[in-house]
Amino acid sequence: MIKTTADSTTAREMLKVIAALIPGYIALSLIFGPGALIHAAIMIPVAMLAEATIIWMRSRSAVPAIKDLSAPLTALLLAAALPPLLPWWMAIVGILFAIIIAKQLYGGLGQNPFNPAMVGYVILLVSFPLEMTSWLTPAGAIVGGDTIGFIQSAEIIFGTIENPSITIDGVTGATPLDAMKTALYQGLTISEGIKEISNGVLAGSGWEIINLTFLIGGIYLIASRTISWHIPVSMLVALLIISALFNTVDPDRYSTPLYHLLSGGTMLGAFFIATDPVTASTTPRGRIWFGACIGILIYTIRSWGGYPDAVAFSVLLLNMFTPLIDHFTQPKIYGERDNG
Amino acid sequence: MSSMLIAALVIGGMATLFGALLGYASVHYKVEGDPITDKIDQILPQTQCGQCGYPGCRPYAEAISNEGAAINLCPPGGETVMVSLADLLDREPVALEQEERPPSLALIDEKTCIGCTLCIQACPVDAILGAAKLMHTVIATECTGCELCLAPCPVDCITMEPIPTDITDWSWPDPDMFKVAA
Amino acid sequence: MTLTNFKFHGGIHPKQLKDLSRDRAIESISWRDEDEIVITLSQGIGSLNHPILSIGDSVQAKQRISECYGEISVPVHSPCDGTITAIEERPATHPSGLQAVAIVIKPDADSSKIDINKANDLVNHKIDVSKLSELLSSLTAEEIISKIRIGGVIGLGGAGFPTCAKLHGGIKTNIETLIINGMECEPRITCDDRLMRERAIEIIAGVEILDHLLHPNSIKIGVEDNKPEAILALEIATTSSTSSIEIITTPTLYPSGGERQLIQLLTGKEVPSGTLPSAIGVVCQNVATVAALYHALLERPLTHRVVTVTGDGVESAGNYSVPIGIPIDSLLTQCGVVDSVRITVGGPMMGFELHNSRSPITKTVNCLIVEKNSSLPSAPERYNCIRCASCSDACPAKLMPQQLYWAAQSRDFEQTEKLNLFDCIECGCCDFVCPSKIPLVSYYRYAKGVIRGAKQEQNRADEARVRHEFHDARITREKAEKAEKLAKKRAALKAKKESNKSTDKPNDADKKGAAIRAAIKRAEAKKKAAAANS
Repeated sequence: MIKTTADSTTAREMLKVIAALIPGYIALSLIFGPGALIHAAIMIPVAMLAEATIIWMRSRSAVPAIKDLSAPLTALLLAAALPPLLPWWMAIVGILFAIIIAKQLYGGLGQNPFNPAMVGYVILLVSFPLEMTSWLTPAGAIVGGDTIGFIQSAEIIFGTIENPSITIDGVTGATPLDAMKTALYQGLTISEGIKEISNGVLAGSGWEIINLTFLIGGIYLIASRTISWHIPVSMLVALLIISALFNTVDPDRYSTPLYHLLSGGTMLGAFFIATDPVTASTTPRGRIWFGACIGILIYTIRSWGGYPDAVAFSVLLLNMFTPLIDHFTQPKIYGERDNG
Repeated sequence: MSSMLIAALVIGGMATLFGALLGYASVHYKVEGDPITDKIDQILPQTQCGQCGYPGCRPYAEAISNEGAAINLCPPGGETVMVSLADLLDREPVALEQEERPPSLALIDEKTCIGCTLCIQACPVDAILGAAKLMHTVIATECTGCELCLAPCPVDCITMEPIPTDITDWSWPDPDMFKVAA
Repeated sequence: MTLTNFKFHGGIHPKQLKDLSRDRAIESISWRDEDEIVITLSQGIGSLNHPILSIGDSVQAKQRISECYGEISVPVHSPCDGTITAIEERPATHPSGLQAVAIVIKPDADSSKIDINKANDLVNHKIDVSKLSELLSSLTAEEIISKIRIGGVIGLGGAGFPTCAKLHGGIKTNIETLIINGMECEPRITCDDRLMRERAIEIIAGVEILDHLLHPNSIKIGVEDNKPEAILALEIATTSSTSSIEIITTPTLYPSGGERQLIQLLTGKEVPSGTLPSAIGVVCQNVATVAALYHALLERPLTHRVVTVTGDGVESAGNYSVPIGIPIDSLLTQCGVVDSVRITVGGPMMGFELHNSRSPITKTVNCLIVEKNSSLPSAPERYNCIRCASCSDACPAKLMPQQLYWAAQSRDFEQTEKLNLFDCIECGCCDFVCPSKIPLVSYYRYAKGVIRGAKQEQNRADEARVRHEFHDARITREKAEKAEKLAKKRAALKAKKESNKSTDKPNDADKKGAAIRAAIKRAEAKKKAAAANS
């Protein structure tokens, strides 16, 4: 029977998320050059092709899976998280891992327990730690200096030209989170570290702008009811509280809350990664726990862990707990009796 | 030396304590009867048909729990019962030995019945009503469809009629039956 | 008129689509000469009726034609003068498309004109207030409920729960609030709207009867704010009422007409899971039901009801007062149906597709949606569940529909019960909002059916076990008794023999032997005769 239904479709929801990524992508391109766009352009077709192939191998119709736009979204999320000059084949390894292993082997959209984009990211991070932590020094119109151009980016990403006009060593640097960590190891204080790593004000130049643009996209998602506020808000609040706490206790060893909120993948993670409905908690109370735990984990790993940023690990760890959280946070139903 | 003594004492003490606890539990929480047989019996459909090769549901339940009899021998219970048994006993589900039959009722052709009472004696749930040389009839609500009355009837006047679905016991079909492979 | 202060969780805003029929006054449509009236014996919820007349008997309009047993069951009546031509299985107006036993009546020639005239008389119906109050004061509560029951009144809003059963529950407890449901929250349906606009006095008269019966502390009529004319009509009708009736307007939101949602909306209270509204001192009745019970009290049993006919498949959409039992195809033909249509019985949210248009109108049919097959949208493409939880946000029962779906589709029915499957009211909000277009409610209905079936099966098995154990015990007892008897006989025989020995009677044994031989011969002869016969 054909029932009356609302206009929303899975594809439309995915499209909204993709649209919300636009400001972030613009900021990424202005600051780090078109690397993310080049990666996205490589990864989207690969993602769709991989998805279609696997579904075809399972002898099912690939058309709905392609039309739901979930594969391009995964590619876009992963591309936004990768260092802009990562070699093309690494990007492909990442997206193939995300689509084939993390998503399709579990049964495709809706069946995967772990966020595919973050699985791809983590696989790249543990396999190619050097390349995955080689970020560009922020440049471009916003923060001053010249952005690396399209041709230069492409040259490095594809590695086709023997003597590229610039070399990767010439332009890369660590992310502020990474550099701060190194600075702290060297015995510097936070304020000294900030001076050391960049001319930026808060979280290292350029990064705060990128985070703010992802925040804008995230606010659009909440306003358009594509995602609920629970996860991002609880995650950011938890991160804020814990970082404020430690910062008050020892400002020399622990960064400010604003630094944590606006650096690395915080905003991308809060609004786009942790909110992936498939792998996140679904009950209202569960979402708050889910977000808060991610926030705390991010802080923990950033402050005391071995990796500079922690969004991917935190999200994946909490993905594991999703069924448990859902189980213990069942909402009270209509007419539920207290004794029952 | 003393550290060894302490270790021996601690381990010994713990062993005594846990032993005592176990002993207490075995007395205090003693299980009456054989609950697993009861549980199996609960699952079996109680048709008492003997199609499993045992003389009734209870004997089959006992055979499963004590002799490790197969769990796929119950045709009236069908796959549902087999799966429930597999769940309960933590065994692998196995395909049914015999084909599952639709639920049915015995129907006595009252014109042919000679009133021999043989079917009445055969019925394990006393669902046939009648007396010697008087026509018999099946109490439809009590008949379990075990077919045990078919064989003894000297004039073959009993048939099994599948129970038709009517509006009151109709239920919505499985939506996955109509699902187009996606 | 007051606005409500409370709300329920979730809900949706489907397109109303009521314009096609909302401005069409209730008209009467009766049977044509070639039609037969088919009265299904099981209408709404309740045990099956038994016919009390035979084939060939003539019946009169309003005559009761069945007997009902059990408290949750009401009889059916003939809407026409005519003759019973059959009592047999006929296509039922039911989602299964199965047949059900019905009484078939051939109306007398030209009787439809009388039917229409009678219906038109009701349009200008005046209520004799003094007569009504006199009648009420002369009857006990039980007598009033009995009259409502014999009048065949069941809930006309959809589910068809016998009104008498609700009222029985109501008079046993202290009723705080009487709620009258005039929400009509499903899209397209307008029959209650029209009834409130045109026959508010009958509704209010029915409310007064319930007031007399239940003595509630307050009476609230809930109407959605998309029916201003109905609210106005009720306001006017209540001004002259002896009961103090409050008309409460609620925002248009589906499913605010669901009984439990409406109670929450008007009182702020939730009906505890697994209980009836009377548990919290509330009785809820639909407006059409209230009007029907007023008529039932005045010896006018439920033989007609108002049905909305709408959709692009009929030429004259509208609201029609029709005899219960008229075949749906007769009604649609008289409304000018086009060829090749799909008929939905009930609203677009909770209705079901009709399999056979020869099925009759029953007491619970409030709407027929007739759509041209050509204008039907193709089934939406179905995607995988992405656990977006839009359904949880929309669910008025505050369930977790996506978790229920995962459990139901993996056949984990135990888990569905833990997730409160049976608190699902099947309103279809989850279906509506699902971006993956999964028919969630179908899964819940299926799971409910499987669980109910399993419970029934378990009950049967338990009963069979008891009977089998009794059977075994009886057999053992009989054997023991036989053995005892035999032992006694042997002992007696032994004693006899011993006494015989002493007196010495040699003939005795010979006699016995001869008797046995004769018996064997007789049996053999019988056997031969039997063999020859067969």
